[in-house]
Order: sequence, then C-alpha cells, then structure tokens
Amino acid sequence: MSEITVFTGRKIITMEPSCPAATAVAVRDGLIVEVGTLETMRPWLEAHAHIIDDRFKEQVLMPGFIDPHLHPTMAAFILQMEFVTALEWRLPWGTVKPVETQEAFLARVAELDAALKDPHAPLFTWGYHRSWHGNLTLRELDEISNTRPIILWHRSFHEIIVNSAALRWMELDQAKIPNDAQVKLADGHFYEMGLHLAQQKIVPHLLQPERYAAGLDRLKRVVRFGGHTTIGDMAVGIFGAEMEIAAAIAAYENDETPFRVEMIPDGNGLAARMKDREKELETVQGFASHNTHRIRFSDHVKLFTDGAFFSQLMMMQAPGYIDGHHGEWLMVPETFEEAARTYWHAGYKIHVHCTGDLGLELALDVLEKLQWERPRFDHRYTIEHFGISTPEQVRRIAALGACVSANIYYLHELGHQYTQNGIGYERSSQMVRLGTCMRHNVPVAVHSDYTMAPALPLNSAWVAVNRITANGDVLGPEERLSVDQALRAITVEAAFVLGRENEIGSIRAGKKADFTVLAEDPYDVPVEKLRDISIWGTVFEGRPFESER
Amino acid sequence: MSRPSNSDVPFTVIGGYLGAGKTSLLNQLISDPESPRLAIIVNDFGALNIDESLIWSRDGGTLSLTNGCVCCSLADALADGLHTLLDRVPPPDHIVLEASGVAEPRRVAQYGLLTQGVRLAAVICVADVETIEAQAQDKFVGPLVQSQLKDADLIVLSKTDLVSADRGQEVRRWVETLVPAARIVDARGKRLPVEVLLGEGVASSFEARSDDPAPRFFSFSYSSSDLHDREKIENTVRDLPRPIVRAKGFVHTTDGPFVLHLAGRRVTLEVVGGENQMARDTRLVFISAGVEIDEDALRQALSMCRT
Repeated sequence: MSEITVFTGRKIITMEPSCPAATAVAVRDGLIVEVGTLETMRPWLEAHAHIIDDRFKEQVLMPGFIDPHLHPTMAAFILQMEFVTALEWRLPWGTVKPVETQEAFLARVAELDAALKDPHAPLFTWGYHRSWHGNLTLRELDEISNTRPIILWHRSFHEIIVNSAALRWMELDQAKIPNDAQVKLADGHFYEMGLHLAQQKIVPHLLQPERYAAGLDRLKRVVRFGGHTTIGDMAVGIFGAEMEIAAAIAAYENDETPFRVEMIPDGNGLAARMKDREKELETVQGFASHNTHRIRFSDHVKLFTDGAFFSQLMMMQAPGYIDGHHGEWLMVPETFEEAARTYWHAGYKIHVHCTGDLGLELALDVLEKLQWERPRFDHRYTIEHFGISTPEQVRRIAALGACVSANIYYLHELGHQYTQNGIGYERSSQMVRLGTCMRHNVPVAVHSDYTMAPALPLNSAWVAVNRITANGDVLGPEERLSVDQALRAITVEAAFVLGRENEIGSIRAGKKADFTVLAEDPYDVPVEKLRDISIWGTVFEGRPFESER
Repeated sequence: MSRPSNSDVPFTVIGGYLGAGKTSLLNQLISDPESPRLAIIVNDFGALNIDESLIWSRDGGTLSLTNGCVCCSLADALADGLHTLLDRVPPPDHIVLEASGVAEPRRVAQYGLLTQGVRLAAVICVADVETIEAQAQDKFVGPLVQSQLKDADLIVLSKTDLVSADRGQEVRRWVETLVPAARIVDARGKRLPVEVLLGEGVASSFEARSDDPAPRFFSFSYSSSDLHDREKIENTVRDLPRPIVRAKGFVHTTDGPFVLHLAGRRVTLEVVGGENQMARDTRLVFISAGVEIDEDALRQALSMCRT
C-alpha cells in the first residue's frame, strides 16, 4: 500500500451537505481516505506513512467536474476546423474572439487564408450564422481565394457555404445537379439534404486517420481545460462502436489522460444496424468486455425522440412555431417505445434525447407505460437536453422518478433569437426551466453536448445561475438556479445521472480522489463572475495535472 | 440543370405510416408477372443513425452526416443504393423506394433526385382505412401522417375489404376533405394492377384482364394523328376528373413528340429520345379507378387541345 498524500487547500468544497467544507483531504492509491482538517485526520496520519502536499494552499478544491453528455467523436471532427463564431469560445489554444459582423467575419477568414502556407490546402471554418454574419455566398469567398477551397460550416452544422475552388475540389458535375436538390450552386450553398452532395468529398478528407487523431487530441485538451475529470460519451457507435472503442482506448487509456469516460451506447444506431432487439441487447451488454481503467460501459443506453434544437427541429406541442413549420422525430415513436421497453425490462438506465415539449411528452408517456408494466425505482430514466417543456411535464418527470440532464447553454445562445424567430417570448424565455425542476426535487445535471455548448462546466453553471443571453438580457429569472444547485449540477448530480455517484461527484472518504483546483471560491465571487474563475487544473485519482492557460 | 429525359429510370416512392400496407404492396409488385424489371429499395427510418444535430456515421464504406434533418443515413444509403442499381447491366426498368413510415415521402423523393439518371414517376401514399383517421389525429404523429397524405400524387386505400363499404366511403370522404385534390385508388383487398401503381405497361393487356364482374378500373384509349398544343394537353390531363388516376402514351405536339405520364395528380411530359421517332401520332391510354370514364367528354376535351 502506498503512502498517504494529504492535499491542503484554502478551502475544500466537498459538495457533501453533511460536511460541506474542509481544508485537508487525504488520498491513497487514487482514493480519498479522509476529508476534514489536518487535526481531525490525525489518527490516519499517525497510523500510516504520509506526506503533506500544500501546493494548493492558496487555492480552492472542488470535486472534479463532470460533463455527463458530450460527443468526443463529433468534437474530433469539428475541432479540426477554425472557429469563427459570433460568441466567444474559450479553447485551450486560445480564446476565439466574437466575430459579430459580416465584415469582421470575412476579414477573419481572409486572415486564416493568408496564414495557411499551402495555397491549395482546404480551409474549414465553423460557426457561420446569418443572424450575425449576414448572407454570405461563393462570391464573397472567391474574393478571398480563387485557389484554396474554403468551406464555411454553419453553427448548426446543417449547411455549408463554399467558394469556387471548393466546388472544383469537390469534383461535382454541375450540369447534373437536379433542380430540386437543396443546393444553390451559384451561391456555393449546400443545405439540408443538399449537404449530402458536398460531404462525399469533405468527410473522407476530415476522417483521414492522422487528422482524426489530431482532432481527438484537441478534444482531450478541451476536456482538461474545462476542469473535467469525468465525461460521458453519450452515443457510442456514431461511426461504429468497435472503431470508436478502439480509438477511445488508444487516445485515453494512458497515464497522461486525467479523466475517465463513461461510455453510453447509441441504442438507435444499433437498432438500425441489427434489426433484432435481442441481438442488439446482447451486443450492448457485451461492450463492457472492452472496459479498461478509464473507459467504462455499464448499464446505460441512449435513445432519441425529436430533432435538433439548434435547427428548430424539436417537436412542439400547440401552438408550435411562429412560422408554422414542424419538427422531426429522430426515432419513430413506436420504435422508440419498443426500444425503451427492451432496455427498461433489461434494467437499463435510459437516456432520452428530448428537445421540444412534444418530444418530452413522448418520452414521458412511454415512461409512464413502462412504469405500469414493470415498476422500477431509482431507474435514472434521464431527459437529455430538456429544451422546451411545460411546468406540468416537470411535475410528471418528478412523479415518474426521472432525472434531467440539461443543455442550459441553449438559453444563452438561442434564448433571445427564439423569442424573435422561433416560438415567441413566453416559451423561449422559459426554455430549460431548471428552477421548476428544483421546485419539484428533480435531480438536475447540466452538460455541454459539445460542441453544442462550450465544454466549460463553470460557464454552464454561470448560465444556469444568471440566465443571461448572448445579447445581455436576463430571460426567465424565475428559472434560475442557486450557485449551490448549479455546482451540484456539474458534480454530484452529474455523477448521479451517470450512475457513478458512489465513486465520484463529491469529496468524501471512499470516493476517487478527483479534484478541480480553482483560484477562487465559487460561493464567494459575484454570481455574474462565476464563469471567470480561473482553473489551475485538476487532480485525477490523486495525481495533479496543471491545465494549459 | 437537368430535365427528365426518356432514358432516365423512373422511380416511385411508396410512403405511408407504419403498418399501412406498404410491404404488401411491394410484395404484390414483386410477384406480379406483369411487372417490368423492378429494383426495390426498402428504407426503414428506424434504421437511421441520428444524433441530436451533428452525428456522422460510417456504414460499410459509406459515411454519413446524420443530424436530424440535414443529411441522414437514409439519404446516403438511398443514393448509394440508387447508384448501385443504375450501374447494373441492364439497368432496371423501374425503381421502387419504400419510404419509412415516419418519413415524408416527398422528401424521400428529393433524396432520390440527388442521383443522376433517375426521374420521379410518382409519390404514392398507402393509407389503412382502419387506422388512418386515428393516426392523423395522433398526438405524436398526426401532423406527419397528414402531410404524407397531402404530399402524395396518388393515395392507395388499403384494407378496405376489412371494413364495410359504408365505412370505406366515409374514410374516402374524410381523405377528400383533408386533401381536396386527392387522387384515390381503392385496393379492395386485391392486387392492384402494375399499370395503376407504376404507370408501366398501360396498354391493351390491361383491358384484357379487366374481367372482374364489379370492375375496379376502367380504361379508355385515345388516338389522333393531329398535332396537339403541348401546354393545353398538359393542363387538360392535369384537370381530368379525379377518378382518372393514370394516363400514359405519346403526344405529338407543335414542340415535338413527348411521352406523357399522369400519376395521380402529377403530370410529366418527357422529350422522346432521338432514335425513338415512332411517336408520329398521339396515342394515350387513361385509367379510371372505380368509376366508368365518360368517353365522349374525355375525347372532346382532348380534341380541344389540337392546334
């Protein structure tokens, strides 16, 4: 048995109501042996060899942050692109300053173009959005370069704008593109289904092994930068489960990776490929045989109801959208029910992607049926994203024993926009109604769904506490969380949603020695400064890792 | 930009909600000796890989962006499927795509059109008379089911043999209220002729088989050696009485010879390929569902299109 290391801190925030604050935490072999003061833990220290590590004596320790829902594989893709975004994005290799006008956007793209040496290497950017950057076409991009393919990926990921060089690079036969495809070649605009044409060339380019590995490496830096020690990969199997598991092990299972990954299989994708629920279940159950120290499958699965929030494809109850369009089902309601039934009866914790209130209604109707068929307690059926809901639905979430894992950043980035172009002020201002969840004692975690939101837990907590939108308004102040509730949402409650609350999420004897080291006490700073607290780094299973800054 | 030419392979999209009877219809087509050489693609929306908004997938050698609406494995698989089929020697005469129960068939047709070398023949929606009304009002899928009906060129009422004739009529009237321009075919629990479903082989063989004591279909042939006005005949055929669900043949117009197709409420005129100059005359066959054709009136309407 190794010797004990005692970390001391200005304050140790345990997130344990029975012992909320401490100044010393003793760690052995990656586990916490005691929390308290040097004085109270003296019996341990007298009985065992130990050292006192006071490097954090001026800092504040919290339980290692947990993001229960992000997508490393998707992130590895997007992180290969240059971020040119309307909102600020803090990334380990630099903060992306907001680019809020068309002029600034084009200037930034021109700058990126000039910085690339090879005149033919394609330039990808991510973050273009008409609300800020106006209508851009091939013509404006051609003025930047006639030789380099330039591809602007929309913030929503549902469309791209390219220049003439990119059209040539994609080798599209322009004469053969049908009239009603969703492509405006003259504008270099590919959207919705038309994007399919463009991606035939683009995707293999971005998936080349060395590029993909570089993307995963960047994701690893992002996870560290945010102060995480645990993340949930909330849909393993996007590219193919075996490939992803192998890639995850290669990328993360080493001493230089200060975080673990809870792997949640994509039940919908599997259903699609396997067509046989029993076989599917066997496959999902078999994934655990790949488990390593940091990579773990347990008894979770991911399912889906309705479409993307950023694209206004959530299924909405009456009165729906201002412009009258409809959302989309990602799984056929009957198929969703059948899949949920299979996993429910097998004892799984089911995570359901729900964005609109009709999508949520389906998730709850099905849960109610399943509870009737086979009552389960502590089942952790979790509503993921939780975009639009009604207060009555929250009451039902509570009654049925479900949890919420929310993308609170929707409110920050889209709250104002959706009041204008979307669903109107009343429902938009109440999106991601976490205050109501608190009033009904629903367990609430927050997540990034990276790159749908920055993977910065303190930033998510800041949005939950302040509900400040991108343009500075406060929307739905009645739905704000307290600082304590928000901090719980990135630690203990996130651990609960991942089913790992006995191992991580708080600082107490017996749990993993995972800490996030902060320069300031989040309970002490003004609430609007919560996201500005500087993060020194983390301690993962007893080992300190300083972050890039 | 392309325009359909006579050498493009026609494709028909068969949509309708889960359990409507799409698969039975496909089985009929497969086993019907009158069918042309068909290629059938079955698409199951449940087979889609989607994540919240930006999920990519690799299935075999195919990569797809699957993010809800933008670009899903349905499209990828479909495009790949179509390419594979078109590369066959000889290529199929007609491609039938079964849309998933939760897809909007019109959008599936758009996916299909991303492939070169095909033309859209028709979007058919199959509706189960026993369940369609309830489905159209379902809290989760009602709007989708309604748009499937509204977007179809031709609606096939299935399982009408399982309900009373009155009930069948009631549902039919309900559909007509929902979709005033609907062109409806009642399967009456029997095999539907390939001519009606796909518009293929509309010809004398159809009449020869119409020996049913209570015929479900009636046909009428029109021929003329006069030149017709292209626009007039297109409009006339589009505005025919609703029971006329299919028409096909050659039209000789002032703009040259065309092949005309009527599929429910969809009319298309294709340029006749260079070598095929047999269309010196106008020869059209019309099929009416359930109601006898007023031959005089139809003949007169068509004659009015002569130049």
